[in-house]
Amino acid sequence: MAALRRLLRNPAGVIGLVGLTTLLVAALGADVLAPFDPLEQHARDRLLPPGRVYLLGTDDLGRDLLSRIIHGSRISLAVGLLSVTLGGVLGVATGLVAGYWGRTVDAMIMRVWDALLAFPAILLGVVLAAIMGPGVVTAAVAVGINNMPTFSRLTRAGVLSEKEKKYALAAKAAGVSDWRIAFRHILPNCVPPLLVQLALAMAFAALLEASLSFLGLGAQPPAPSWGSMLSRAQGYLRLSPWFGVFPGLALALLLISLNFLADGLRDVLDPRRANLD
Amino acid sequence: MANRMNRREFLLASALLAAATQAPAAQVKRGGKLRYATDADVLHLAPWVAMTQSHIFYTVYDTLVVRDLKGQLTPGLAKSWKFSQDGRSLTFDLQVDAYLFGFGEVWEAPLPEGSIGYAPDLKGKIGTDLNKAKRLIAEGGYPNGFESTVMIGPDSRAPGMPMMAEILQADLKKIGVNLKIEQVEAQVCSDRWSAGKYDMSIHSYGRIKEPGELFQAMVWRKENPEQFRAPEYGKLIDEGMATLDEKKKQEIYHRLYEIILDECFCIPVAAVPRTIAYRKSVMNFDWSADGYIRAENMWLEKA
Repeated sequence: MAALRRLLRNPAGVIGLVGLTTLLVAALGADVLAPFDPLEQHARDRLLPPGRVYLLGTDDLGRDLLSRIIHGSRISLAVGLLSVTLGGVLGVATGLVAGYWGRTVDAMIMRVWDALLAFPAILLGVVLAAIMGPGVVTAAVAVGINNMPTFSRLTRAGVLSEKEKKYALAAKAAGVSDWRIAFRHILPNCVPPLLVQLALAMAFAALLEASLSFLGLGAQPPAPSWGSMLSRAQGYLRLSPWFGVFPGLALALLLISLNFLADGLRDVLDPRRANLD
Repeated sequence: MANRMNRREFLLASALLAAATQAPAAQVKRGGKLRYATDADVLHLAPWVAMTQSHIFYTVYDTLVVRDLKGQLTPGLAKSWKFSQDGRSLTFDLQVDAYLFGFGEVWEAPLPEGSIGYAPDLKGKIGTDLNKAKRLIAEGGYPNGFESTVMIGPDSRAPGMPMMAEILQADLKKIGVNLKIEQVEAQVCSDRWSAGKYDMSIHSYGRIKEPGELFQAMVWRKENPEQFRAPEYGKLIDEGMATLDEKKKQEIYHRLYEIILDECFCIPVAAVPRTIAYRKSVMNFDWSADGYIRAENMWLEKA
């Protein structure tokens, strides 16, 4: 609660929270907020500019852009959450094991992550799409796998630091099992930087999902993914610029909000800054 | 002594005059047949060939401006116009935003109008009836609809196919068919299509003069991608292509057209009309409905 109060006094945190909350409300209330069915085509109303009926205009199939952007927020946020959960859980678990037990286990895990980090994220997405077929789940898995090394190394760094502290040594001396020390005592103290990384990872996940959808490897038509909307808008940038501008702005809003939130969390959770407050 | 109208004639004439002038403005009715009688031969109805028959053309063609009964120019297809300062050019501001040249028209025929294989009497035979479509699907054993996949090639090979697939997807959803779009590489698409390994596929055809070849291209290739077999169909194609009698050809192709509409192994979705602009000096311009410009009877008339 104290941390939350500090976050609400932090300008970056507030901006991030407001932006993210707006998008969350849009995603959860899309069925109510969207003025049209995002998949409904109005053949006579193709590429209309923003107006009274279609507030943000229409796309090349006459679908309302505002409705598609609202529903598209579900895809971006869902992929972000799913990928961060996948990457976070497996990354943190492997980082904890590598950091606490060290030696061979540490070396093996870190070398695997080193190899994975050599793969560009997009390439990983392409490979997974070839294996699993394109789709939202494929995009989420690709991003999740891409997130694992970062979470793992961050956790490992925290564990290496925490396991030498007195409370950990005392617990060991008291006969507490290694698993219990690692999960019950050390891991909670490694959370703050992971929370910051979580916000950054979600931003990266949203961007990567949009990139994969842009390439046709993410959400499949007629799903209103922002990335696929940007891809379609390419051919109409001079004729109907709003077709590309509004999905781009929505994506930018999400990325900016998450980055600001990460900045705010970093300021709030950093113990040195907290002491200054 | 001058002739004088008697009272009875005067009253009759007055009554007729009153009736004529009091006739309410006729309500515009659309449709019907116009028969235009003229004392001279009509050489050609193409206005760029026979400009002297303008009195016919005003009836047939929309013009940019229209002369009213007082001889004044009023808007026609153009809503306004402006002469240049030197009086040598005229700029028109048109009423319409675009000429569609047939784009956006409902299409359900395997061949375009103008082809001898086209059957105007079959136009609208299927029509659009969503409830009937759902009923037929239910009768076919899918009361709750079904899922299917449409295979298309890359956009670079067939521009517009992904968009057409999405339109098809949205249309079929209305009758309970959930269509998934599967876009594959060109060679994969070609191989799978030839082998018949797909649920649905979208492809284009055209640029073939002889309708028999077109009907054959859809089904009777060696690979038979549509997996459609009907001895009558093949026999009719052979007969149609062999006969030189145009009337018989039309009858045969009419029957083929009927088979296509009945069996629905191939569903015509859209036709892309070709629009060609050419200079006024090009005379007797002609092209086949299947896309070939017929230059053999054309000539250039220099001003």
